[in-house]
Parts: sequence; C-alpha cells; structure tokens
Amino acid sequence: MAKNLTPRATDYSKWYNELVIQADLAENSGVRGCMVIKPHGYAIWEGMQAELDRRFKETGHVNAYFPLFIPKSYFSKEAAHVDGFAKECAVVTHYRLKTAPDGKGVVVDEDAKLEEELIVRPTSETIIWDTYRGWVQSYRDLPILVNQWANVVRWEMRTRLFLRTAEFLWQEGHTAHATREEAIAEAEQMLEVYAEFAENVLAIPVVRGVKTANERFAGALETYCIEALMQDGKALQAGTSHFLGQNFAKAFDVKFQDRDGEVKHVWATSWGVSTRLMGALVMTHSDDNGLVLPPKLAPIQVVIVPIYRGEEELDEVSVVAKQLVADLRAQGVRVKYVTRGHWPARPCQWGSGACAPRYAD
Amino acid sequence: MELARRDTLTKETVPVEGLAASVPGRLAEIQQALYDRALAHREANMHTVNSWAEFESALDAGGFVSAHWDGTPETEERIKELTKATIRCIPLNNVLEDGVCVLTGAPSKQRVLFARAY
Repeated sequence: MAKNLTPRATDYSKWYNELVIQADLAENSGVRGCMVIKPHGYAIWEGMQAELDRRFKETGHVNAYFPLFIPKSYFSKEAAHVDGFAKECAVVTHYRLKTAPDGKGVVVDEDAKLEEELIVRPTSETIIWDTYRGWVQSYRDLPILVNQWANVVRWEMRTRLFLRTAEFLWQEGHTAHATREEAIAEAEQMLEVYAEFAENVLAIPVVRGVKTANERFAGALETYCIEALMQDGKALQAGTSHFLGQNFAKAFDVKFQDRDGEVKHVWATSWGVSTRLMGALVMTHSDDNGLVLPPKLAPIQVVIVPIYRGEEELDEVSVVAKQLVADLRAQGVRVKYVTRGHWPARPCQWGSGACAPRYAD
Repeated sequence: MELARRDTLTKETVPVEGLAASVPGRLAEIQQALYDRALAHREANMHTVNSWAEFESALDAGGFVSAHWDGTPETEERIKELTKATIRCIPLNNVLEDGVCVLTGAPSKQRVLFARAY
C-alpha cells in the first residue's frame, strides 16, 4: 500500500498533489505555473486524444493547425472577447537576444522590438476567424468543421498540476455555418460528444447544462457545459461548447453569398476540452492507495507478476505467464509482464484495472 | 492463478484455463463499476433546497445544490461573495417550476445548480 500518500479524509488537496507526483503523471517545472507531463501521464492523455479524435471525425470534423502567435490588434476586434482574456495574456515584444555588455550571459536586444506585439494564444478564435475570411465566399464553402490539437497559455496566478496551469494542452474546434439553427445544432452536438466521452471513457457522470450570462465564454451567446462532481464535493467543469452567433464573423468580416443571392455573415461555434480532464480523472476514481484508472484509458490494463521460489519454478511459471500475455494481446488487452527486479516501488501507481495474477499450484 | 482487482482491492483464485478469455469482460465490468460508484457519489451529494439556511448547510456538506435563483447577475454575484459558490449550470433537462430565489425571495421559474468548484 502507498506509505507516503496523505489520506483523502485528512487533506484532499494534498492527497491529489502527492498522488499526481507519486503516480508519475506530471511534475512542476523550472517555469512557474508550467508542468512537465511525464510519460505515464502523457500516455493517458494520448488515450483521451485518440478517443476524442475518433468521435470528432465520426461527426464530420477534420484537423488543422493555426499559429501559436496572434497579433495584438486581432484581440481588440471582438470587445467581449478581449475583455475576458486581456488579464492573462503572455506577450511577445522582442525577437532577439544579444550578449550582455559585461560579456556574461544574454540580454534582450532592444533594437529587436516588434512593431506589433504578438500574443501567445490563450484560445484561437481571433486568428482562425481572420483566416476563415479567406476561406468563405459562398454557401458552398460552408460548413467549415475544423478542430485543432494545440497548447495554449493563460497566465494563471495560482496553479495546480493539470487542474490549472499557465500552459496546457487541449483541442479547440472552430466551425462556421450558414444558419443560426445549424450552428446551435453543432454546439449541442459537440456537448453531447463530450458528455458521452466523459461517461463511457472517463467513467465520469456529468450534468449537461448551459452557463448563466456571467459565466459564459467571452464572446459567446450561449455556453453549453458538462459539470462533474469530485470526491471532495467540489464541482469541476469538464468541457464547454459555445454558440458564438455572428460576433466573430462581424469582427473579422467573414461573409458569404447565400442561395438567395444575399450576402450574409457566417454563424460560429467553438468547443474545447483540455488536460484539465486528467485532474478530473484522478480526482474521480483514485483512492488512498493511489491511482485508479478506468480500463479504457489505462496504458497498462493488466499486470502479470510471477510468484515463485527458485529459478526452476520461475522457468515453469514463465511459460504459463508468457502464454497468458500472448492470449491477452491477441484480444487487444494492454498487458505487462513484470519479472523479478522490475517490480516498481509502488505497483498500485500503475492504476491498472486488474493486476497481478499469481501462479498458485 | 490469483487475480487482483485494483478498484475493489479484492482477490480471487481462478484456473488458468479460460482466464485470458474472461479478461475483456472483467475489464468492462471494472469500467462500469467505476462509473456506477461515481454516479452514486454524485446522487448522494445532490441537494435540493428551498431556504437560505438549507442552501448554506448543503454547500458546506459538499456537492451540487439545486436551488431557485431570481435570474439576475447581481444575485448570482452576491451569492458568490457570501458562499464562494457559483452557478455551475442551468441543466438542459430542467423542468420548469415556480419558486422563490433562495437569497432575495424574488419569483423564479426554474432551479439552477450551484456548487463550489475547481
């Protein structure tokens, strides 16, 4: 059992912080508020990505990639949007370093000041809608159903691994439609994709709802959300899908000629989930012994450990164990055979649904 | 063979024969058990309240609190200042129901879900 893990009842917050470290999911980095996602944590995130990506494609979406940097002027084009994000933007002002005058280390080269500052994307509506202007002329160009897998930066003051970090990984879908009804249907469809994923893959029940005007995404007319309840009785927003109306189309002048010949503004949605889901997953299922993962996301679902006395018995047990590994792999089960000397210090930290068959006879 | 389950920490002894074939079913069972446990936890912590006193004690107990709200941003903000709870959402499957706001007593047409949140 985990010896150094604070029990949930003693201090839930401490339990979470210790568990993420002990289970080797992530750690703090030299950069304040930014985490290193370790291989075990990243493997779980890859599992989430694969499940989500399949669902996005099944609902007609395609992936693309947009720049990390957004010119400052783009942000001011949509008033509510800039208000919502202005206070947490990382800003690039220069593009070059030079050797310090005293010859020790480097300093920012003041001669290399950018004419217009660049914002490290906190979300990509502005750069994407600026791009869509060139993609849309006619109703035949619609809908645009694009998703991007990326990192974003929001300068958070109080950070916690996975739950709130200055840089995080996510996907952001950005769609463009000819009609209001179609855009609303898209936002609702993606909420249902998230809800189904949360319940069937993460094994986390969620409440589907809409946000109040106060809590809406900056620039949205409606924000749909899924909300989950953690073991300590606190809620966690697990995903959002926004109906953006024509706000961004008007701000970036994205128009199309409709079937009736009239030129109209395009209707928009955006939707996203992030590595925050890793925090939700840990906080929903894990216990005082450490990590517990739902089998659909466990990088290793079954661990086989030989129990034996002497080399002769090991040889005998290994034959059976290796056959079991082969039989399990053939069925698509992710299995690991652990021999002497490779048993980890904290086996429970694998979080696998089932572990350790033992050779009894 | 001895078989151990991580979620329940239970062990059972099973014959080698047929074990591999039974694993996908066992994994599906664990997946469902985790969901069922999380759902039971949420249901046990879903409070429906009608007064300010009930509202505050339900929040302190933890969980979602279903309560009437007068629909104004001012009341929403005031409740946040007083209790640190926010309106998590207006559930999509909401049934309309006449009531009065837990803070102001003003008329309300539906309940919303409050909670302290991450």
